Amino acid sequence: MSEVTKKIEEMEAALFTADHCLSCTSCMSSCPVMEAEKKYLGPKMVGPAHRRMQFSQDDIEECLDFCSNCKSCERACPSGVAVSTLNMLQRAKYYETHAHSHCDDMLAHGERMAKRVRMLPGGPAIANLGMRIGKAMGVFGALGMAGERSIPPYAPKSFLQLFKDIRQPRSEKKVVFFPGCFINDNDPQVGVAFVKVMNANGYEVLVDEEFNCCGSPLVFMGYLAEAHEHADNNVAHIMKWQAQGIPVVACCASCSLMLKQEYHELFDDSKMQAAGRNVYDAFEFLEILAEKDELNTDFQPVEEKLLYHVPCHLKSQGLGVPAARILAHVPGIAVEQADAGCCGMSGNYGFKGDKYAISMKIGEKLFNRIKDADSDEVICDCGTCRLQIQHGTQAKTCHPVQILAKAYGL
Amino acid sequence: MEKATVVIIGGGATGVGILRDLSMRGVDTLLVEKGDLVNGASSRYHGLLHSGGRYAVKDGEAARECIIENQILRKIGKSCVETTGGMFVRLDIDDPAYEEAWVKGCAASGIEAVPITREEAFRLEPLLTRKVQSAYLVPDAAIDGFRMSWQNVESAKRYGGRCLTYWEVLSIEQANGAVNGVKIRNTVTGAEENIECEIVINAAGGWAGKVAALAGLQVGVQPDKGTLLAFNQRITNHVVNRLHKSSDGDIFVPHGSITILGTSSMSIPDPEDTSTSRAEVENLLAIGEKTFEHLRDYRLLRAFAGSRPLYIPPGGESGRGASRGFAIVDHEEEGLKGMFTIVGGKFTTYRLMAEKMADQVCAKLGNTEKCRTAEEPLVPEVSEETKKAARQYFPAYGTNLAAARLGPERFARVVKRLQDEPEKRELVCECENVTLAEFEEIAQEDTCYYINDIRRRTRVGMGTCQGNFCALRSAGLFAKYGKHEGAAETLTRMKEFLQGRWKGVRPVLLGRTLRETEMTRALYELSFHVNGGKKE
Amino acid sequence: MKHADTIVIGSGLAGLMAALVSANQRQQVMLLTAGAGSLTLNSGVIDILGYDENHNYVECPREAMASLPQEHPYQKIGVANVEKAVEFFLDFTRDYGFPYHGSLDHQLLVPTAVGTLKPTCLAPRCLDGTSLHGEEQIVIVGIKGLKDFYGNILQENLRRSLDGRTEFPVVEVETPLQGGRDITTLDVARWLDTEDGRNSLVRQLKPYVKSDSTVFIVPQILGTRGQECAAALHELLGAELLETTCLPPSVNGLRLQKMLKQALKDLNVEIVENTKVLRAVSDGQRVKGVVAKASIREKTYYADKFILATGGLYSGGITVREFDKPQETVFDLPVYSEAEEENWSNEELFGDKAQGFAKTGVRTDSSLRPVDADNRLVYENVYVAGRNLGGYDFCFEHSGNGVALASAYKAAML
Repeated sequence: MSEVTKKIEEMEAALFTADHCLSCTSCMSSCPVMEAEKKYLGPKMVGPAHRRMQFSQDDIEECLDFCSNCKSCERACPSGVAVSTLNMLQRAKYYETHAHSHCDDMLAHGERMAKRVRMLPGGPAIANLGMRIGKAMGVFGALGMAGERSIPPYAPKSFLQLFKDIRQPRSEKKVVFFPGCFINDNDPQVGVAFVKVMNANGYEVLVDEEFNCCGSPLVFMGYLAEAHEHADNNVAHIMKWQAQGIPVVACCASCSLMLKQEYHELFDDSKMQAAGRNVYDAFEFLEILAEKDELNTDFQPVEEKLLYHVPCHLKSQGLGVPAARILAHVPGIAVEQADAGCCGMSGNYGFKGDKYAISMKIGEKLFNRIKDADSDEVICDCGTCRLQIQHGTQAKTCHPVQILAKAYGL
Repeated sequence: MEKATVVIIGGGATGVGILRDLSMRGVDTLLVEKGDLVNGASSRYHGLLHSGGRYAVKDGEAARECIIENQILRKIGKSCVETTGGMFVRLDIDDPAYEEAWVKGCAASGIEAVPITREEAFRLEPLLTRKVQSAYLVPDAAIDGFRMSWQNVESAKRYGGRCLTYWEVLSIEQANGAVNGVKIRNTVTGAEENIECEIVINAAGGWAGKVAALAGLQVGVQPDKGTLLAFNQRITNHVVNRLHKSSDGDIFVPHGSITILGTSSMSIPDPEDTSTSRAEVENLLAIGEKTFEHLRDYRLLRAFAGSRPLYIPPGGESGRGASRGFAIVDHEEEGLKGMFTIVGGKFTTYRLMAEKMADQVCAKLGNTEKCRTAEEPLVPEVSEETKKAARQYFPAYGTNLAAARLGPERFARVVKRLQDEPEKRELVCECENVTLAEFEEIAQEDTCYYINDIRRRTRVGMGTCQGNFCALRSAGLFAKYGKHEGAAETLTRMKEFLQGRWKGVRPVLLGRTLRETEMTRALYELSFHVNGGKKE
Repeated sequence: MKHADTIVIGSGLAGLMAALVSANQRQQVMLLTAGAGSLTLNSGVIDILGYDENHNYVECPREAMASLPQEHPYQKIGVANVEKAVEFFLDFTRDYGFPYHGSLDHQLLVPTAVGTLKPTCLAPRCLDGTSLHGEEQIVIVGIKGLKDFYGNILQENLRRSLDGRTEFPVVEVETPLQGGRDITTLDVARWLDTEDGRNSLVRQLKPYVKSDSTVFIVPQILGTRGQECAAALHELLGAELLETTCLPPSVNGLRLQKMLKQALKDLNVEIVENTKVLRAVSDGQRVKGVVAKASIREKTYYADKFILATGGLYSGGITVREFDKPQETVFDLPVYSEAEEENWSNEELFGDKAQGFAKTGVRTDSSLRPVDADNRLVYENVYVAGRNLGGYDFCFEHSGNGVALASAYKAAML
């Protein structure tokens, strides 16, 4: 690395990057929320501007609330400004002096709720019934959530529960799977598929029940101190595995982005940066195997036409689309990328009642693309994007790792 | 022919201070300035309200004056002073013996210097080099020289004082060994006028020698150029001084949204010379990065220079060795009655200097009023109610700044406009949050001949984009609202504005500054073809 | 493991073009990019050469190119290649439904936001004001709340540009965009992508159509998708609408970018975004791969050929952290620079000579491969395109997109 780059790298914590802003408007052209909502001042006018003017602010700019943290602005920025992360830091400051709504609290603390539900016998079924009734009665709308949406039902058994019953061949090669809240509680089959895929590649999968939610919903909702606690806990465990030479892999792009990169950006802690290096997104890991010629390519044909919506938080990882590269080797398969921008869901953004319309407006391009595409299934590495796609189009969705499992005949 | 009892030549801090003081004592006073207000040393400096710590070792008298005036200015000029506090830090390479002398000096001058631990220093100033050995807090502050000077004028106006900008003095008229008037010319329109007066005060700072010469007198003024760098953001929270013998480039002042680093000291022949060289910039950076190691990674906005008017009595020393004190010369001793020169001093003590000058003039005029400039605030405060109304229209970080720079009356008018005319809520300058309503307010004043005059009073074009976006907007709007004929020459005004920015950018044309410049040129030279006129 | 035949670094005009031309040669192409590229700021018209070194206006770029100094990129590219690049570009824009026109023989004139006429070579119909002569009935159209467009500036200067032959009325159009944040041209363009928007505009402008020589001069607002909106409005109004260059975000730059990206997708070019290329993996004079930042770790991409289109001082392809030490940031290539203080910049920002600093860029041989100060080849399979080439001031000459286009074409064809 040249001297220049090295110096710049050192300044990478989000706060320092605000100084790099040239006010060029690239972030504005790429912001999906600006396109959908005329009240939003836009990325450069909140995060970077706030940082520069913080000495004089008597409050946090209210329109910051519109930011969905999809990070399109960061990817567009020619100067390396962590615009979206700066927004999240400001949002946390906002909530130092403003109360959170009940809706915020619920959306930020899905993990807590799920744990409570799973403590009761038959809890998931009861909760699902309750949520269906609640939706019908308009309870969620009244709480400030998007009443138009169904709350994703709890799976009868969580991934961690299912995992206990999976019989894996023992192996010297191990990875720790970080399921994240959505896969664990709502979509455990993604995790199961991941375990099978790793087994097919000669890896044994471990789990670590000490992990918390990655903290992405907490950061987004402005519970930064709590997110920091999660980060400290998760980082300690990631480092524990790192010491044993075992990488941590996630199947949710938002989780992997948080663990790899955002902890350090938000909390400016070199330990977090070091821990991040032991975390991989699932297909990033598989592609590294492929590059070392260690990927099992004994694929069976999968005669499917797939439309791939690449989630924003995967794009932010600067990997391109590793799943597309790997699936391209599966015979019979046709994968086309949707290239229709952000889906509008952005984690919990689309679940907020006052953001629902914006969320759906942003998603329109993708919905139309899917409706026009005539594909068998839409694949996507992010759980909440999949929810949005289902909600907006009724299309069938899955995680690409589930397709890969199919290709292995599992 | 206009008349005034006293004519002050020079609209720097000293001049406006005297204008206010005399006006408050009921003396009919007119100030004449050849450019915009405070275009010399009073705005081209750190913007530092000294605690006196800087002078604690070398000049106990100056240190004492500073701490007293510091407290007065905080009181009378609330919206001009940012009470950042100051920190003195001694690095590993600095002489510990100096620290001892400094601590004693502060105590002797009545400056409260509170020792803090290194850890505390790093908590307060996270970006400081870890080579700091010891640190103290002192009551330094940041002060907006430009705003304070305008507020002096506004205060003076309430007492009948008058002020003419963009008028230069051509000659000082005299008869029978006494001054009786000045001849002045408008530097924009060329119009000439004679003003009858009894007393002329030469408060022309670096130009004092030249003004004295108009009356056939000699005054020893050595313009001493100080170069400063402005960074795009606040690097520090406090004024940060190196605790060592005063030297170039060792004070950082957080000033509004930016940080100013300076300053060097160089004797120059011509006070108009505000050029800065690469060597000066390099020198400042090299010294500055001792205190803040990452300095080069922060974006520089510009470099600027001002010349301190150092008074050199016959045989005196110049440069950093020269006194920062001030002198009043009554030229009656040389045979010209009614002519005074006031020269030297520093911004922090401008009020005190003005008081002393006004005392002498009043004695001469038989006026026995006492000085009241230390008690009465320059402008009344902006009410919370108006601010509350304003908050609906400004981004959350914009209200306080706009209230401070506009003062209560203009701010109230601007807020009313924002309420009544929604289309005027648009931000002409997004970096510094200047609304169209505010731009209109200032552009309409007859003291605004150029966009740069509006810039200095609103901060339009002084932020992150350095005019890239607001140059076009300002030109379009100035043509619409400006009072003077030239306002409608949009391309000329626009280029002049950008050229003004360029002057400061040129010496620091590296790193991210260079990136910004490429954007300026790509927009204006390439995309707008501003040099193109007719269809070719 | 090889990722592609050619890896292009950068997604400004040069990078996108280099990828397009390479892919068109049936190569497997990968594009690595950090940031959106400068097309979002750029008017998206292709200036070839507007002024020579002495600031004389260039009537015929083809002729003027021949007498440029040796270190100028056009000398290395060669007029014949510039010609071919222009043809390629015209064909491409026609095929993708947003045709540009023009040639190397003469300049087109594009009206600017300040009412001057800007020389350029290739432009889409909606920006081409060459035929304006001042005799037509010109109406300047502002948008209420659009703070980046001043009818009064245009009025004053366009009159001058057209020899004062016409008085132009300025009209202001209402949009439903008011009542929110300050409006940008992009917001208006998106509104005009919709049928409601177009109908509303037509309704408001119709009364000003006096004859078939009526021309409306508008900010860059005529839709975000090629010429679709401009054509529809022309039809509905029965009068021509002409856009000016504007402050960013640049709608026309975005149109061009969108079209180029669509073409790359059609040709299966893989784009990896948000990845900053840090350095090369080389074997003597041969670069085998480039190491790019992928969030927390690095990833190496291998290919046979590399086209460096990271941009210049603005985009960060070249940085000057210390005076006298400009650096090329990926391969640390030798840089041409007029770094001495007296040559670095001019006293006038917009003067009649080129700015020294602006000429900073990579030294290359005639095949656009990097060479050192003694003209020795540094890497045999690295080609440089666009703004990171040394030896020209793109603003002063009005040559930015021209050099980007032509160098990208040549680099891709070699």
